Amino acid sequence: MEDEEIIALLEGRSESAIAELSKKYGRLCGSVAQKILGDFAETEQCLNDTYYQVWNSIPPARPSSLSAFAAAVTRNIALMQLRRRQAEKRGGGDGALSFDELDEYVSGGRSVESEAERKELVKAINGFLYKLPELKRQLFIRRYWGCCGIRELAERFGMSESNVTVTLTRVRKKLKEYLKRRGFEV
Amino acid sequence: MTKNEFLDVMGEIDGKLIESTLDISRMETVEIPYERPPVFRYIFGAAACVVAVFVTALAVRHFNGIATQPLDSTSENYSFSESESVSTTGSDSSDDSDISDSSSESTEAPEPDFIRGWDPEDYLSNGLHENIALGESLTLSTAELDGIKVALILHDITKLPGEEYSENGLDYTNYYGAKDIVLYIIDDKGRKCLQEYVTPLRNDGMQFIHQNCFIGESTRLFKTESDDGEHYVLMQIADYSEENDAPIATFYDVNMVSDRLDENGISGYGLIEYYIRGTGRVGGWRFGYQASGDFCHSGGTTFTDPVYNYNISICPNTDKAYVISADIPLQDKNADFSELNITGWDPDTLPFNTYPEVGESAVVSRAELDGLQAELIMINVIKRPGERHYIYSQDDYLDMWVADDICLYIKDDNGRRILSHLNTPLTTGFAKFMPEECLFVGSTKIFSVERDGVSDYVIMQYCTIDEDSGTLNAAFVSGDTELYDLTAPKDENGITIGGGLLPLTPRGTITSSSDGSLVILEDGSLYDREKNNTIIFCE
Repeated sequence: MEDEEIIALLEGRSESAIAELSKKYGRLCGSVAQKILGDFAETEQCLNDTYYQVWNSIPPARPSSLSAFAAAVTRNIALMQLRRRQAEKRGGGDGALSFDELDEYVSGGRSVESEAERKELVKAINGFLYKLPELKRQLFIRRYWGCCGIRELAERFGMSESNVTVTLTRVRKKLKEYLKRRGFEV
Repeated sequence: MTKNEFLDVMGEIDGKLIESTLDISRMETVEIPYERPPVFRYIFGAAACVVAVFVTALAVRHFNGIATQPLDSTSENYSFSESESVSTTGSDSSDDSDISDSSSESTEAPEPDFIRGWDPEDYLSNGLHENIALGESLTLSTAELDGIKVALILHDITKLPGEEYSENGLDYTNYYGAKDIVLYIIDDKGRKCLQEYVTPLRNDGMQFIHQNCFIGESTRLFKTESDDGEHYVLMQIADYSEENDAPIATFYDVNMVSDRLDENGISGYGLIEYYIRGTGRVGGWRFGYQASGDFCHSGGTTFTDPVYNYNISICPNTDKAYVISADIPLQDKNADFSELNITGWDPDTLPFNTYPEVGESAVVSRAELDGLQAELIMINVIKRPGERHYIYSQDDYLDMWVADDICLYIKDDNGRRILSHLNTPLTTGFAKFMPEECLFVGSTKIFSVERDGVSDYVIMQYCTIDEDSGTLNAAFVSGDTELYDLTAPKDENGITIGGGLLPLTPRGTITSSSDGSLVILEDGSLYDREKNNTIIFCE
């Protein structure tokens, strides 16, 4: 079924929209969730929440890309779930999701306080990512959006792990400078 | 910024970036194996199972053919794969060859991606209307800026203002009704797009828009300037609050145009809606303001969120532009209130109902002792026990209440009010679960205990059940409101929401109780005589 038709079902409040969404994007979303959570039962739960949030979001939202929308919802729910699990178990994270390399990059200080400021920050990051060369963009988004491990990225792109690490370090540095020039304290 | 905040911000990046990275069309080859648990505990609904098997079977068939790294034949792996290809693999390409051959010989226009059945171009020149007839289709509002043209079209009018009509408790007397209420946009490159479902009020066959939406310029275009270049923003007054005499606007980004075209060459969608806080808020949902941006267009206006009285203003900004800003007058009422602490509902206005319908919010259980009140609140019931929900369809959930939120609300006779989530074991990010057996008249109790001269008020709420023994387990929190940090963040109703509840293990002798059913046994455990239940503290 086409995305438009699924969206129309959602807008018409037809419950079959969920089955169609699951049929079309269940594997994609499952993959995103599984990568972050690494647990089948939690992935299933995350998928339920994803469908529920998509159901509640459309309408009024009308995403231009349903796949990206559903994947983003899954990713954010999975991260939230993971953090809850980590908080309960104290340090239950794995290497791929520890993102230790970000320690030097983020200040750990002042948060993005207002919704407006946050939206502006997202907009700036979008602008930065669009300008990045393809490979660097892929690496950066897969790492910090898709939560892929360094080894997995190296295998995927035929690079050495150190090469991936160095490339990501440079992109992070560039992004930090880019945001700083625009008045964002990362 | 913390690492988590950075990752959260990354989660909001443009969908196009995600789509191009996941690169669905070229198929991902990453496989993430998982170990299925020994017992297949989570049973989707029958339909979902059939779908899963079907999709899996097709995927295996498809990927074995074309993917660079085929899926395991057991196919119990998730992968960055999805169904664009899956859905097309069902058809045999050889079967399609005749069709594609014949179409390739045709010199006619390309097949439309979908059929709309009517052309908005037919209704653009109607101008202003004095005598509108039922069944007509016409443009009621237009805007134009830098070559971009927008028209609000009512297609097939089914009701006129003044005609009495009500539905689901809403009075539509002052509304237009039409089969479609759409925004039709032609951009400066001649691309056309049509945005459906412009108004929030609709049923299966009709959409409604208030007649006062057409006072003044109800459709407007603005241009924003930022580092990313120019963006055009479309504003449509799509609803109206009679109670507050306030128009309610919807904002769209007009820069996105889909390449899926109808029979008239018009894309099916193309606008990205900005969310305005206050619309469609349910339970814990938060919608952010589109609260900044420079607008190079004249015409300042203020719009009001009729529920929460937020003002959303478009007003002059120094030398060149206009700024959308959000003003929250409730900040004056509650000094501690911040934009981030919106509960979205007031527990004091919820009805008491021990068996709310799906979609309802209610106080489902309550207790009172010495002026102290405790209430269990369910927000937006998703399913009731015994109902199989199409999303939360697993057998594990069948006998449970599922709601957007389940909270415990405490207030004393000194006006102290505290609200906190009740963390039931099956809490997920977007739903809370509670076993059927845990909700009954008396499932919330308050009692005071005394030991070594120290007395405590204890609030008890049944929240889980031991499936093997049938024992109900309870959560205990302190009812001593003076212990709570009332300087913690407050919501828009002035209720403390930031401090959480203080867990308390009851010890000593019960001195008074809200329903008299509780006793503490010799071994120190708590016993509910009415339910014949020894209560275990639920961490």
